[in-house]
This record gives sequence, structure tokens and C-alpha cells, in this order.
Amino acid sequence: MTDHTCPICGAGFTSESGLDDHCWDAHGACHYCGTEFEDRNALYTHWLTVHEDSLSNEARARATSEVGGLTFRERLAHQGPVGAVANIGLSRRQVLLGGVLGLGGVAGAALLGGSGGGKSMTEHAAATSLGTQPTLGPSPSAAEGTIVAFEDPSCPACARFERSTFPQLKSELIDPGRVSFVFRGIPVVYPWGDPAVLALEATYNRSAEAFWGLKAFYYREQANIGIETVQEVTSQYLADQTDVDADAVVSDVQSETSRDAVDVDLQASRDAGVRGTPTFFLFSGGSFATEIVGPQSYDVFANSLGM
Amino acid sequence: MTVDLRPRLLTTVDEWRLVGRTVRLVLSLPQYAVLAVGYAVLGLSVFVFSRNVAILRQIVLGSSLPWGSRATVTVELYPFIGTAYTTLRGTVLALTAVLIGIDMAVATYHVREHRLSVGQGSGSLGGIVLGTLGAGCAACGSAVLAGLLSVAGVSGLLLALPLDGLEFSVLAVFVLLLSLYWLADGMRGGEIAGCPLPE
Repeated sequence: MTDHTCPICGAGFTSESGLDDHCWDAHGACHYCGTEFEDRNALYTHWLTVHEDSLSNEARARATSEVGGLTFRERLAHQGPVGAVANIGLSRRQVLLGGVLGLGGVAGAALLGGSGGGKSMTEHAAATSLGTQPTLGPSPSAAEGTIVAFEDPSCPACARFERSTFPQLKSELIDPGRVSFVFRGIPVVYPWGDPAVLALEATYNRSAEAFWGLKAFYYREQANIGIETVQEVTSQYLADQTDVDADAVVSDVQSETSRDAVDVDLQASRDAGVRGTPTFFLFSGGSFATEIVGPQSYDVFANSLGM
Repeated sequence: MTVDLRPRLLTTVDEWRLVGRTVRLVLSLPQYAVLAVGYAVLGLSVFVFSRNVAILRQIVLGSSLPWGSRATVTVELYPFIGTAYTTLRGTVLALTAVLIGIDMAVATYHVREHRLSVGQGSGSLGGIVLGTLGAGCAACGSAVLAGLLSVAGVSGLLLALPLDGLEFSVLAVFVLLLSLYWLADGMRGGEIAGCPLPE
């Protein structure tokens, strides 16, 4: 019974070395795959690049001693750029194991790392100066749950949240008095977001009801607003739909009266690690529950708050 | 010995046919079809959770909420189920995930059946990396790309692009197709599941 068969002529041999000698003497070829070579050194290089996982210790030692291992150029040609850098002296299993361990380490760090879990709302960076922020529903200190929302009126994803999720949050959790919703405007997307946030702050200083109406207006008309038109449309909306002095608000925007208030929200967003809008920080029973990024559905918010 | 560094681009009909035949033959093997689905689901999950690692850590894995609530939160994060993605962005994200699944299945076949070293499949690894970044950008505000770009203070500039950053996902799809071609090109003249590939 033979365990080693020539890939070219089918002759059988009882040992790998016998097969190797036959393939080379009779065919000038590799005994693993039948590829032909002009000289032994080329064959050994082929073993080390293509069949390294199949080599016996004896064959590997023989090949390495004859050709002195692979040059970087040879690894680049046969194993590609990743192999040329990563496979230096490593077998495929070692590289694979290293990759799995590396990915596992990254995943573990991502899952176990980070901060904020269980932290009190009063200590969380997202909730600094919470008492001065526009709030719907009960006071954050009295509510079962609190959502602190970092949004930009010029952000399309924030507009999607306003359309698809906020109405249900308002009707099922905020209006019944279970959840407090706190808005923090940060102008980080399009340029017109900056005067819009200043206008929102100036409006809130005069009327909370007008503030929420203006916010909804910005999201509703977002596609039609730009840096050249934002002050005009703001003035028109406030004059037509609210009792707020529209000219005073526009004047506040131009003089940046509320710049400090906007900067407080921007600093809070940086301290809390906000990387984009909309970003929401959820607190349940006064303790931090989780951070939600993007215009996620009502069910994500409700279930994360345990409601 | 020379190293052929000429760019290999997917430009001719024959090259597209090679890719199609290679993919079809590999996926005709049930174990590799299952592998492709698994890799695609894994890829899509990486994209989805890269934006909301906090939810995964603090709600799905680390909270005392009922398992039903945790399952609901998990499922609602995915495109076409939750509301986080528009139809266009969800489609591009899903397409990227499918290509990653196919790419990884073909690369796995190449490594296992043709006894190729991991390094020789590095073209597909480049496509996977770019696919992850690009799909993260397609999700707008993804932790992956936004986190990297925010270091340079340019994350907001993504939305200054005509497609609000979707360009990167489209580029990722192109790179994944290119990596599929490189893999298929490396298998020319061989066989898959007993069927020959063109020279």
C-alpha cells in the first residue's frame, strides 16, 4: 500500500522523500502539485511559498538551508503585500490565529471599554447645564426616563428622526409624562445650521412654545433653507406663526447674543464624545442607560428605556 | 524573477464573465454558499453595530432588560427594519455586505482548495477594509469613518459631498468588485467544483 502518489504519472511510494526524489528525477517537478522547475532552488522556493503548511519538518529544514528562506521580494511576488509583511516566518495558521486574536481583542475592547454605563445623570457630560435647555415633558429630575438629544437643524438624519420617530415618542412617552426630552442644538453639519441654532436659542429665551414650533419648521423646510435664506425664513415663520418679536430674534442672531449658550451645548457634545448628529443620551431612573446614534426607530428608544 | 505590478482593472466583458463564472461556481458548493451568507450577515452586523457599540454593550449584552426587549433593539438597528437608513443607503449597505460575503467565500475557497497562503488573498482584504469604511460612511455618522475623520476635524465635510458621503460606499462596492476580479484572475485555468475556468 502506498501513501504517496506522483501527481504526474500516478506512481506510488511509501515515503514522502521517495516521492520527492521520483518527481524530481523523473519529471523535474514538485511532488505536491506537479509544477515543473528548472532547478532545485526554484523548487524549494516554491515549497516555502505555496506549500509551507504541507511541508514536513525535514523538507522545510532542507528547503530553508538551501535557499536561506524567502526574500521580501519573493514574498511580495508570491504572497501579496499582506503576506509579504505578515507572513515573515509565520505559517498560515499562525497568521489566521493572530488575526482572530487581534479581531477578538478589538471587539472585546470595544465592548468592554468606554465609559458612562450606570453613571448618574448629574455626573454625565451630556447633561451639563440641563436645567437651562429646552425640555418637553416632565422635568428630567422627576421623569422615569430622559432623552438628551444633540441635533442640528440642518442635518438630514435629524430631520428623519423628527419625521419618523419623534411624533411617536412625544405621543406615547413624553406627553403622558413618562419621559423628559431635552434638545441641545449643535451647528456641526451645514453652514446655515449655525444661525438656525442661534435663532432657536433666541426664540427659546422668549417662548418655549415658539421654540418647538421653529425647530419643527426648520426640519420640515430643511431642503429649502440655505445660508442666504435662513434669517429671512426664520423671520417670516416667527412673524406669521408665533407671538414672538421676529425682528428681535433676527437681531439677536446677527449680534450672536446666544453664542455662549450654543458654545455650552457644543462643549457638552465634545465632552460626551458626540461624533455626529443626531446623537441621543438615554437616562433611566436618573442613571445613564445608553447612547443612541442616528435616527433610530421608536422601539429602540422605548425598549432601551425599559418602556 | 519579476513582480507584475501593472494595475489589473475590471474593464472588459471577458473579465466580468470570469468574475461571474468564478462566483457562480464557488457558490454552487453548499458549504461556500452558507459561508457567503454568514460573512454577509457578519459584515452587515459590523456596519450596523459600528455606529452603536454603546447599544450593543449597554443594552443588548450588559443590561437587565428582558431578552425580548434586547432582541427588539438589536433587530431594529438593521436597514429596512428600523428607521436609521433611507432606502438608498440601506440598499448600498446591503449590497456592500453581500459583496463582502461573496468576496470572503471566494477567498476562503482559493486559500483552502488551492492551498494558497493568506497573503496571496490580500487583494480581497483591501476590499474588505475599504468596504467597512465606506459602508460606515453610507450610514452617515458611523463610528468607523467619522471617528477617524474627526481626528482631522473633517467629519462634517462628508455631508458637503453631493451624495452626503455615500460616495465612499460606492467606492467600496467598486473595490470589492475589483478584489473579486483579482481572486478570479488568480484562479484562471484552474477548476472549481470540477468545472474549468477560462485561461
